[in-house]
Amino acid sequence: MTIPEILGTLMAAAFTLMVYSFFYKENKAYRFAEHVFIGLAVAHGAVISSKYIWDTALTPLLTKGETYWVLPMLVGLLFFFFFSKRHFWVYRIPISTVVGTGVGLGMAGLMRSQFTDQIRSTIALANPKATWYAGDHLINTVLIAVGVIGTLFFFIFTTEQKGPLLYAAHVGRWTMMIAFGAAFGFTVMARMSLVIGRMQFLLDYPTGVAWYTIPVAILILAAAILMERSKGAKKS
Amino acid sequence: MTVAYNDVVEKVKPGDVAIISMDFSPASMAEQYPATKATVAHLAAKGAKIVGLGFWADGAPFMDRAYIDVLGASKNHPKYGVDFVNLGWVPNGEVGMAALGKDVHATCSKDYYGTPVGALPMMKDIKSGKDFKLLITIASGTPGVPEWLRQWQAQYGVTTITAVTAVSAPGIRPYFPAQIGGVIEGLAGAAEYEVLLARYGYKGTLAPPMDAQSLSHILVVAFIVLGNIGFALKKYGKGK
Repeated sequence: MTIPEILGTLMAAAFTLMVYSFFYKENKAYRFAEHVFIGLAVAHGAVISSKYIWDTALTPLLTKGETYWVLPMLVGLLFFFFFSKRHFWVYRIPISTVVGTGVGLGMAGLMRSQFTDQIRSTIALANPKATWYAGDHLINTVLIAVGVIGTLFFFIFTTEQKGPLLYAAHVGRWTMMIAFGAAFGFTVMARMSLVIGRMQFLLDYPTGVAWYTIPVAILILAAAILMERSKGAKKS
Repeated sequence: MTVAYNDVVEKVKPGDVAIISMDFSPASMAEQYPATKATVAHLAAKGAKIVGLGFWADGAPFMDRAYIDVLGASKNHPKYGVDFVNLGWVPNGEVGMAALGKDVHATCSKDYYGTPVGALPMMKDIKSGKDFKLLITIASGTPGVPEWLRQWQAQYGVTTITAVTAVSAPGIRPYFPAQIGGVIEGLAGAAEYEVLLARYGYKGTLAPPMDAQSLSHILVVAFIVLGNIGFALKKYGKGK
């Protein structure tokens, strides 16, 4: 490992431990790491956004004379009217352009990919060759159809839920409970994965250099706790 | 789901063009990066042409890192521009995806390293979404899977597979298998994929983390069971 690599790894390990110091309580080290993270993310975004505009719009404008790039750049500059109380209304022009374009484009694909295709999948015929755990096995296609229809019935509030409607709504409630349980399980897995990833980094990435920060962090944390307690004892 | 993901990549023929989008940030690197590396290795083994990019600003550098870790180098690799490219970050989320599908060269004028995209040999035949056989999104939020489905799968019929964080997995399942051909779900899915790629000599890194993952799950299940026993004792104890 080169010296910059070692320093980079140690710095990353130090920031990881600063963030984990939040387990003890909110403290200055945690807040410093939080502010640095946000600052870096914003700076990185600003730099690569500027580079993209430079490559895609400014360079063709200046070198090839593609003058039509002036218009989108001017519309983009109108975003800065966000900071003007007097001319704030100008800021609505780029916002409405961006939102309008996004919604228009989104709706075009949405009707197919998230509506008609989903309905088709829900009522799809079972595949007789599918294994029992596959989504298109007979048992699973029936479960999907019953679960979806039951969930839809749960959200019917225009008539009183009694009789068959109540039973269907119960099916919907159970379906949703099972789905929420699965989501919870997956969330636990995701959070554990992140902790495991950080632990792997601290303990063995790439040659165990990061490990040396752990005892230092424990000593600093212990010193901070002792100082705080001694201050508390003096006050009382 | 992981087997289906593997099967889709397995069907790729030499010369087919696959696009890999890094739609995640360093925060989910532990879950997403192993799947990225394994996918790049699998595509390279199948002889696919790889177009890498990212719709998340923090995600694009991971493509460069994956090329270095799997293929040994990125822009300095002798096959860079011939077998694989990195187009870097594409802004504007869903609008950017739509623009990329219509005209790749207009949306990405330069690659991640500043080379004009038109100067890269393999990009001469890749103009729009119609030229891609496979779309792989390594996604952990927005823009991610639904946006790709709306702008690419629905528009161009490109076969789509995805590796998602475990948190997003339940939301992605309804798209499988009709719209998404295969899904890698979190760290467990990536570990399964690594096992499937062992036949290509791929050396995975997820066996020790999966031991920790399994142990933590056993612990969570034990706490849930204990909590329920406590609840039942309290409830029925009062009844007596």
